[in-house]
Amino acid sequence: MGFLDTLSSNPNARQTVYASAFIFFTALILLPSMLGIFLKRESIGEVFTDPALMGRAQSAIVWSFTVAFLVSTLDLLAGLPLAWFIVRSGSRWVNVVDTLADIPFIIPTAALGFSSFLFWSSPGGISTLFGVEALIPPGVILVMLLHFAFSFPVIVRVIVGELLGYKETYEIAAKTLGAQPFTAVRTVTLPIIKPALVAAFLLAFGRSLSETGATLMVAGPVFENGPVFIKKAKDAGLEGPLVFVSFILIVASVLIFALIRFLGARLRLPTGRVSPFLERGLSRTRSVAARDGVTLLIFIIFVLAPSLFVSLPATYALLDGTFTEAVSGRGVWGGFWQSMLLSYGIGVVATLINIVAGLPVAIMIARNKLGKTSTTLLDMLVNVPIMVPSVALGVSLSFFWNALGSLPELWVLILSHTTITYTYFVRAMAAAVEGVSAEMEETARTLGGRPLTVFRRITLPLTKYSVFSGAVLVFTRSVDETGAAIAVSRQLKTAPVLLVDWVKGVVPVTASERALGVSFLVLTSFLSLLILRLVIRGKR
Amino acid sequence: MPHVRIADLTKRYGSIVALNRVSLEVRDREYLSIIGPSGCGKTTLIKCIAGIIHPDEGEISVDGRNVDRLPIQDRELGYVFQEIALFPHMNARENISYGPTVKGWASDKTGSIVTELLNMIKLSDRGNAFPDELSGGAQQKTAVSRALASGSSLLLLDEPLGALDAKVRAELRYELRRFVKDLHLTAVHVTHDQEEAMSISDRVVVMRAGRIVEVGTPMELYLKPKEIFTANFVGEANFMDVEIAEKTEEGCILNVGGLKLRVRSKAIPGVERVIAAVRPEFISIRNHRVHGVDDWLGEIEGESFTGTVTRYDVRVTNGEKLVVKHPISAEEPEFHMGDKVNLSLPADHILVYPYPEAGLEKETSVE
Amino acid sequence: MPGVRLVQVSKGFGRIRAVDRVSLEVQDGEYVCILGPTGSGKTTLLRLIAGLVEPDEGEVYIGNRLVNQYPPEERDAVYVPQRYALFPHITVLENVAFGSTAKGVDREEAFENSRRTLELVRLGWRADAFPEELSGGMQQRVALARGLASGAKLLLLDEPLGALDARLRVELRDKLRKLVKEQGLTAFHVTHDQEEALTVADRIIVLREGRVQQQGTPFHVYRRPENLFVANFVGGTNFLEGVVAGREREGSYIRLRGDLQVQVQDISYLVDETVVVAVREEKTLIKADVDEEPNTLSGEVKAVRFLGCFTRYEVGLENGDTVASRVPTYTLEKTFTAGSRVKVGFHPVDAMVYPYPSLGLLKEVEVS
Repeated sequence: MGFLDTLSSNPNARQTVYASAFIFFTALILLPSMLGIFLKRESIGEVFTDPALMGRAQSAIVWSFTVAFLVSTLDLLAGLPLAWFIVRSGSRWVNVVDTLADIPFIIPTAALGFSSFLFWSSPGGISTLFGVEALIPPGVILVMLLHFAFSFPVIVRVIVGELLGYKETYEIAAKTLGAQPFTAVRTVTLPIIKPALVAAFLLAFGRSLSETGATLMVAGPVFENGPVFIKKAKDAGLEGPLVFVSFILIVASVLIFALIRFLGARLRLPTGRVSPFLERGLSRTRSVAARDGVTLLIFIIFVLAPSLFVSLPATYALLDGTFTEAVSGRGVWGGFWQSMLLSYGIGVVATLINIVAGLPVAIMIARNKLGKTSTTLLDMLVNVPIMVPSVALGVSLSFFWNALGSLPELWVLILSHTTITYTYFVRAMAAAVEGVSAEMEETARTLGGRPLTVFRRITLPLTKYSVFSGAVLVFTRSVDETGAAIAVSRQLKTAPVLLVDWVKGVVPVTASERALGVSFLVLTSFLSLLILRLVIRGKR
Repeated sequence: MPHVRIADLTKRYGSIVALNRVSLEVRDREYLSIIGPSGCGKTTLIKCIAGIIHPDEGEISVDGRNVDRLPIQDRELGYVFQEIALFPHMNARENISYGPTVKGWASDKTGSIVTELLNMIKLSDRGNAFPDELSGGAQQKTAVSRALASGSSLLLLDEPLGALDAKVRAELRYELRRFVKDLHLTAVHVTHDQEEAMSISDRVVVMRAGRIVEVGTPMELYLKPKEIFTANFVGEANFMDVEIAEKTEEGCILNVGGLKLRVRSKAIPGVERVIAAVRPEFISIRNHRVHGVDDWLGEIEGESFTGTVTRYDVRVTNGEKLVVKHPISAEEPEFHMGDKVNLSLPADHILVYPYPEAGLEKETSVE
Repeated sequence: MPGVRLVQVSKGFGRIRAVDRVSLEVQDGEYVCILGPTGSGKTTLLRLIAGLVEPDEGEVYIGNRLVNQYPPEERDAVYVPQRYALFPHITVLENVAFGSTAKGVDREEAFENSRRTLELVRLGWRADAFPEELSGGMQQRVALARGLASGAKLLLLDEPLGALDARLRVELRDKLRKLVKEQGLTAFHVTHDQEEALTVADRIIVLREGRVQQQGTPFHVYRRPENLFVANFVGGTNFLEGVVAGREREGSYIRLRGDLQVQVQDISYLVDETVVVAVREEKTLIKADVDEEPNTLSGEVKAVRFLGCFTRYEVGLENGDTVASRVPTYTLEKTFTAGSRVKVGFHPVDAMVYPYPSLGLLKEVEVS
């Protein structure tokens, strides 16, 4: 350790570490994601010759963005009041709601898709209350409800985080100037936290564009967005449409992300005509209680219930013998456990790679090591993997690695899972390192600490919760992933991919087996996040 | 009628009593400062007046009306925050207009008030600047204008100059007072800087550990502080642990380690063991050859130059160590380390207090 | 042997030159204050010496060694920021021991040494507490102890008393200097408070917009400010604009606004030159009636400011200028009230004369 510490004083040694991490990012993550598609650009011609196919492709792309936009807006409108409730209401229900709000986050989207399907579209769900077989049959509405549910906790988390860090002094200042609480929030707080709102919107947007597995489960026979179309094209062996749609999705995503960021910063929320009378009315306790009530109701009906619904049939499965079958590994379960092992194995490897390769890049960003403009550029580049729909990413990656000479499928899987989770880790770590004042590290250095010593004894202890939660985030996201996995997989199937097959009936399974399989996936996810929560709560 | 009346105000945070039955009256149009060490409760007090903090017990009335039930936005007063808190997404003009705008004033009326205020603070050409483009002093002046734009007559200032350089603070504080007096306002100004408080206030309130120690005009608190804590907190003082040797018509004679000290004062405590306090600038220092009656002989153990005065640390023959502030008259400092000097402590300026139960160090601690 | 030497050191950020060709020399064991307004480059200067930023040009010598290429951990110069940057996740003792343990000193020995250092600042009894449990003043002392215990010979203190209450600042500044001197260290103490600098420094370096305005002992800087900025920034000063009307061997005559005339000893300016006459507030005398002083101006008291030790009168002169007079409170034979007609004056020897600045007087002395 002493040798490494001394070495870290050498600027060349440090630069080598950072350069290597950067090269890793560029060569193994960024370029394959972008270039793979590029390599197959000739096959795009296939689409242009077939008008019907072209029409389908275009409509799929438009649907992807339309759904994403609508869902993100609705999520923002419904999530903001809930985040507000959690941070500001002081109600004794806050802790409960806070935990519940995370649930859709914890549940892998594949499970969420199935659970939503059961809740809205099957005879066992809410449809019975209305006397119909399927209140909302699989199709665009169900897709939107699903996307609304799984993006909801993302928005709530981001806004809660922002509100917790927000200096309430601004609001209090507004009140001392005579502003009613509602007015103060509208004219002062919201404009100030606007960047967080934009960021939350973009996260939800990206998630909606990306999600593949669950969408496949609830899309129904007619509806096609980008990921659905790509899967169908892949199954049919049509490379051209696959490449075309992937390409458009990649380019359009990056552009639209940049556009929304740009516009979001420029957008000035209307502070204009203030109606003191109306705003006083809206600030009254009863109005606030009504608003909270409606928010909670929306949350329960559209997010919580559909997410948890799968637990019902799962409970039946425990009782009707399916459970014992499952544990024994007979029949379909043999393949299931293999898939689970694969998913978790990939998760562990992807997490480890991300930690080692992502940490130096996170530090480069957090400490502005490349100067202002270059760091901003790096920051943007690091965001690319989550801007792009993971299914398109998977397509591009598999083309790239296969063109380079056959890389075993397992490694392509590992690389794709690493790629889509890379951004999460780097951003979480960068934020954590930024939270440690540079001053502290600088003081430690002047006291005689070499850079590595300072990192080990000061920076790391102060950010270890972020490292841990970043790791857990990466792990669960990796296990959750369907899009890239579907795009890449030939023989090997990760657990969520297998479950999609089960739900769509590609593999014949009983209803109980389906429910139980999904539940196993949920359970293991839940356990890992529970551990995370306990560790963080314990240290607070 | 007092502008603000506070009665038996109490606020607790767990086992800590931030305000302990505090009662105070703020007179109409007076400039009142509240000073005290960190944690004494001065900020809690001012926040209670504004409604930002809710007291556990006690009453607050403004203009004769009890305001305990009024939320912040209905209390009609101006508040200036320590961290300035200008809205970062609005320029100076918009910040100042905020109050009138949310109260529904007509835009031309608002416009003219804002223009007038910008003129008063000499920032008429900076109306379109955003807070981060303004200097610290300009930001603070804008914050004060914002607090006054909707016409409140009561201004609460929470360490308004805390974020500024010493020189800027010294200049801006007079502008603050002028502002308040020109507009006929009542001001309650919280600060930890006692020189700031004294230079611009009509009255000063000294607080400590949730209680009011003393209230008085700056001169009263400086020249005739009633409490030992005030004597140490407001300006510097030499403290001597002494005994009353004899009581006289004008005051008393103290025995300080064998040397005599004559005191002319009406406030002589009844006990024998007392603390004698004298401010460094009241002690005259002369060459040891010029000897006056009752003078103390001492030796200079330390000197430092502070521009307007030279500070000397003098070890008196009776063992006491006294700080003496001597105005600089000639080119060079008059005395140097090791010089023998005569000190004269004027009887009129010696304060006598009963020896504090808690001990001298604890009683005068400013931490 | 000089302790620290800077030769033409410059550092820019974007278009701003934070430090502009600064040269200075500080002896081993000196307590030096770097004095200037916010944004004058004081912190950047400190960081340049510490090695936390690299200069664009110039050389930094610490103890005769050129340290430009040395990283911070090898310079033996400890940086103490304004907010102390105590490590929150370890105890006070571990904080203080960091300098030693980071360099590989045996843990037991380092702790032993650290306990002794904590005793120096009277915080031995809080060795096992965590930083957040301590008051501001105590945290400051821990930060100091941490610097002392590291064995560094050079202390770089960035506004060490800035985060403390006014009263506490006055109490601690002497203790700070004493401690540094007892340990035989060289110290750079950055501050914007000129009274603080005057009280604790062996030498003061006045900085403005990255450039050194003046270097010297407190006495020297106070008595002989080299330019208008220093005259204004250090101490309270009155400024009167005027034109040189006459020049003789013993002194010059300056004609102020409104045809008032004053006499000064400075003869370095030619007739008809526009100048600024600067007189310290405590050298500006205030009387009720006419005196034999050669320089007497009539005016009216605009405001009376009680400052404790001093009382400050703001007087509006008949020619429209405003001056302030600082009188020790205890010598006040007579107090004046607002509205009183008074005479203010000064001795020619107390007048400092400067050329009229091209940017105008206000801009030249601007501090905010």
